Amino acid sequence: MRKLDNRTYIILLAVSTIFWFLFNKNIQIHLSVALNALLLVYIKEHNKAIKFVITYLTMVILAGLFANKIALMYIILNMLARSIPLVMVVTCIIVGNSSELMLSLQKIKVPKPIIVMICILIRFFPVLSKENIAIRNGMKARGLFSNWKDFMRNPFLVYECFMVPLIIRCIKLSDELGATAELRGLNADKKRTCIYEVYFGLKDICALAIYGAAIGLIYFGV
Amino acid sequence: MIKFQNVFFSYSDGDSSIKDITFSIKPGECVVLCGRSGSGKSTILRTISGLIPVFYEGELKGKVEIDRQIPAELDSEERANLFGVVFQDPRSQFFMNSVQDEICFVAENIGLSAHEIRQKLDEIVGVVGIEGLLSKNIDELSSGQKQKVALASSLILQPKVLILDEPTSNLDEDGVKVLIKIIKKIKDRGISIIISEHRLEPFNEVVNRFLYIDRGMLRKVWSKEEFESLDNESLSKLGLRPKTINKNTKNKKSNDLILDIESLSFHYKKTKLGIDDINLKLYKGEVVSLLGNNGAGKTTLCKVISGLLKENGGSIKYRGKVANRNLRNKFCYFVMQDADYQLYSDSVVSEISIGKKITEKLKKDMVDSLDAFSLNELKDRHPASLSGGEKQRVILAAAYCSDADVYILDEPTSGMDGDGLHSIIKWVKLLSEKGKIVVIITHDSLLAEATSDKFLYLEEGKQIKEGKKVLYEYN
Amino acid sequence: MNNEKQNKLKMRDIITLSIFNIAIIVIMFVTKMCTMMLTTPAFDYLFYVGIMGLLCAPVFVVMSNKVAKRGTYLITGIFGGLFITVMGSPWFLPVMIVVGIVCEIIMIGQDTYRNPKRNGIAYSVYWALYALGSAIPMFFFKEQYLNSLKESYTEEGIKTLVRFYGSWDMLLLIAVITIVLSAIGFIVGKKLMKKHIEKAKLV
Repeated sequence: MRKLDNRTYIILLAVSTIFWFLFNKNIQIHLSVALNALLLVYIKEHNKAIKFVITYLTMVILAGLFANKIALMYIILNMLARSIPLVMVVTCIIVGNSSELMLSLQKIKVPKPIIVMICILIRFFPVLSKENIAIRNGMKARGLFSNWKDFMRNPFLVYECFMVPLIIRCIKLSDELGATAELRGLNADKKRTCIYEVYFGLKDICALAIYGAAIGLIYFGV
Repeated sequence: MIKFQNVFFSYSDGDSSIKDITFSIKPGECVVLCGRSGSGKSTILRTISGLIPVFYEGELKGKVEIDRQIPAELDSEERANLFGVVFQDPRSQFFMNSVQDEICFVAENIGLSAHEIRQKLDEIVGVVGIEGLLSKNIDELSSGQKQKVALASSLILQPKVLILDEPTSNLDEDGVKVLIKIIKKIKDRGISIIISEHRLEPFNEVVNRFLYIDRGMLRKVWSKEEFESLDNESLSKLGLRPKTINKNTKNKKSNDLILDIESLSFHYKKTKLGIDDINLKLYKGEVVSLLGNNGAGKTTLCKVISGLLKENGGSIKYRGKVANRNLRNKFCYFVMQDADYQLYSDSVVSEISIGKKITEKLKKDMVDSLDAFSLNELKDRHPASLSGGEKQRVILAAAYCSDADVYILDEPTSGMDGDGLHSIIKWVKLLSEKGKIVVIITHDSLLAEATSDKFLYLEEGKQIKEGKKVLYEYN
Repeated sequence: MNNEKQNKLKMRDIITLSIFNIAIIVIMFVTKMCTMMLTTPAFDYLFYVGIMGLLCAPVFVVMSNKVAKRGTYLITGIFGGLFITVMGSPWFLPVMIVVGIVCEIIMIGQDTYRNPKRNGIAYSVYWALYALGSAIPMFFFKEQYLNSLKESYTEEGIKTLVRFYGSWDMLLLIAVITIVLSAIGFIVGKKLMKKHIEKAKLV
C-alpha cells in the first residue's frame, strides 16, 4: 500500500500551523493531538503515535499537578505540549523515505541545493548528535572533566574541548561527504528519479479533505 | 583500462605529493597499492577517480587515462558511470537512511527509470549478498555490513573501475574473507580493481600485482609469487606489515593482583545486547588482548571496565576494593579508535598536560613521556595536523603522564602500516614494563601475538575462551 | 565573470554548509533546552538567543571562512528555520529566510566573508533578528496569539510574555543583549580558529 505523498504532509503542516494559532482552548489542542495520532496510525507509524500521545498526556498531567504550585514548570510543560501536534505532522515527513521526499520536493520546484540540504539534515542530525556523545566519552575516557565539579571549575576549557573536536570532525565529514557526492552523481544535471512511485492522487485529496474537515470541526465546533 | 604516464601531482597546500608515476591496469585485473602511511597511495586513488584536480586542488602533470577518457574532464554523471569508489570511513559516505535507498541513490541521481534501477538493484544485491538487509536502517548495521552496502552502492551502475581505500581497516577476519569473495566475483566480470591497503596477505588470492609506493614514487612492482617470497625482514624494512611476528617472550610474572573482574554483565536497554558473566584477573604489568568478531561486545566490555558504562551485574575490584564507576574512570585510560575525539589542545605539549595542575613533578613527567614516545620533534605541532599513528602516540604519551594504572587501546593498528604496528608494539611493551596493565581490543593477530600475555575471546557477549596463545580457529 | 562563477555555491559548499549547520542546530537545541529548564522565563526571553549566538560562533566562523561565498547566511537561515519547524513552529521558516536575505545584503561586496568586521556585524545582526523574529506573532496577531495561549499559560506567564515581547523598549534590550553576546562569541570564535584550525592548516 502506498503511503501519502510528501506534498500532502506539507499542506497539512501549513493548515495545522494556521489553526494552531487560532486554537484558544486546551481541548482543541488535545483533539488535534488525537487527530494527528490517527494520521500517524494511518501511515502505519503506530509506535510513534503511541509515543507522542503518551508524552503529551504526561506533560498535560504534570502541568495540571504543577498548576498552582510552580508556575514556571506549568508554563514550560504547556509550551512543550502545545508544540506536539505540529511536531507530529513534521514526523510524518521525517520518518518517510528521503528518496521519495527528494522527488516530491523536486516536483514542487524546490531548488536542488535545498533538497540536498534537507536530505543531509535528516541523515546527519542523528550522526552529529552521536559525535557529541563520542566527544564527551572521549574526555571521560581520558579522565578529563569526569564530574560536574571539574566542569564548573574551568568552563572555558570545557567549551574549547567540546568545540575543537566537533569542528575538526565537521571539516572531515564535509570533505569526505563532498567527495562522495561528486562520485555518486549528485552534481549531475539530470532530473532525479525514484524507484518508488510518487504522485499526488485521489488518496491524498481524500486525506486532505478529511483532515481539513476534522480540524475545522475542532476549531468551530468546540 | 587505467593508464598513468609520468604523472606528477602536488597539493596546493604543499602536502605530500606523487612524482613520476607510470603504470597501467587491464580490465579484470586487481592491483593493490601498498606502502607507508602518507606515501601517496590515497593521492593516486584520487587522481584515478578525477577528484584530483577537480575536488582537491593542486598541480597535476603527466597523462592520466581511464577507459580512453581523461578523468578530470568528466562531469559528475560520467564519473558516476565509470567509477565505483568505497572510502575508508563508512560514517561519511551514506546519504540515505535505508539500505535500499542508499544503493539506488546514485542511479536515481543520474535519472535512470524506476524499472531499470530495480533490475540493477536485484542484480547487485545478489552479487554482494545482502538480500536480507534491504529494508534495514543504515545505522543498525555492523561495520562489515556497512562495508557491503557501500560496495553495492558503488557497483550498482556497473562501473568499469572499482576503487577501494583501505577496505579491511574496520573488518574482522570473517568480514575480510567475505570481502575477498566479493572482489573475486567482481573481478570475473572484467572490472578493474585498485585497492590501497596495509593488510596485504588476505589479498593474495585475488591480486595480480602489488605496487609499492614510497614517498610519492612507485619503487617496486611485485607479482603474486614475488610478494610471497618476500621475507619478514625485507617487508619491515619497507615499512610494510610482516607476515608473522616473534611471540612475546618477556614474562617475569607478577603476583600483584590489580584488577579482579567477577561475573560482570551489562546490557544495552534498547537492543538488549551486551556482555554476560565475564571473569578476568589482571596482574601488574600484564597485557591482555580481547579478540572476537565485530559486535561480540569487546568495546562494550572495555567501556564498562573504564567506567563509561555502568555494569548491570557483577563487580570490578581494584586492588582488592570494589570500584564504582567514578573511581574506574580515574584509574583507567581508554584510547579510542578514532583519535579525533580525544585531542583538544593546540599543541602536543599542552595536550599532554591538559586539565592537570602544572607542578614540578608534572614537568618532569612530561619531559619523560615526550622522550619515551619520541615526540620531541612534534612538540609544537597542532595535534590535528598529525597522522593517525602520531595522534595515537600523543594520547598514549598523555596517558603515560597520568596516574592511570589500566590502559585500554581500541583497535590501535587499524589503518596502520608496518612501522605503525612495530611502534605500537614498542609502546605497549614500554607501558607494561612500567607496571601498567594494557588491554588491547583488536582483530590484528600479529599485534596480539607480539604483545600479549593473555587472550580473551568473546562471542555474542560471552567469554568463550581464555588462553595463553592466539587461536586462529576457535569455533 | 570569472569572479561571479567563483562566488557561486558548488555542491561541495552546500554539503559543507549542511554539515556545519547541523552542528549549529545541535548546539542551539541543547542551549534552548538548558535555558528553558534551568532558568526563569525572564532570563530565557532576554538571553537565550544571545547565548545561542555566543556558543555557535566558533562553528560558524570556521564554516564561513571555509566556504566564504555568497549564500552562506541565507542557507544558515534556512537551516535555522527548518530546525524550528521540526521543533513545532513552522511559521518561523519564512522569517528566517528573510533574516538570511538581510544578512546577505549586509555581506554584499568582495571577499567580505574573510573580513572579520563585516562578518562579525552580519553575524550579530543575524542573531538579533532571530531574537526579534520570535516576537512577530506578538506584533501582528497579538490578540489571537494571546487568546491562543490563555489556557496554557498562567496569568503571570502571559504578563511576562507581553512585558518582553510586547513592548519596544524590551525588544530593544533583547536586541542589544543578543548583539553584544554574539559579537563576543564571534571574537572568541575567531581566536579559537586562529589557535586551532589555522594552526593545523585545516581551512
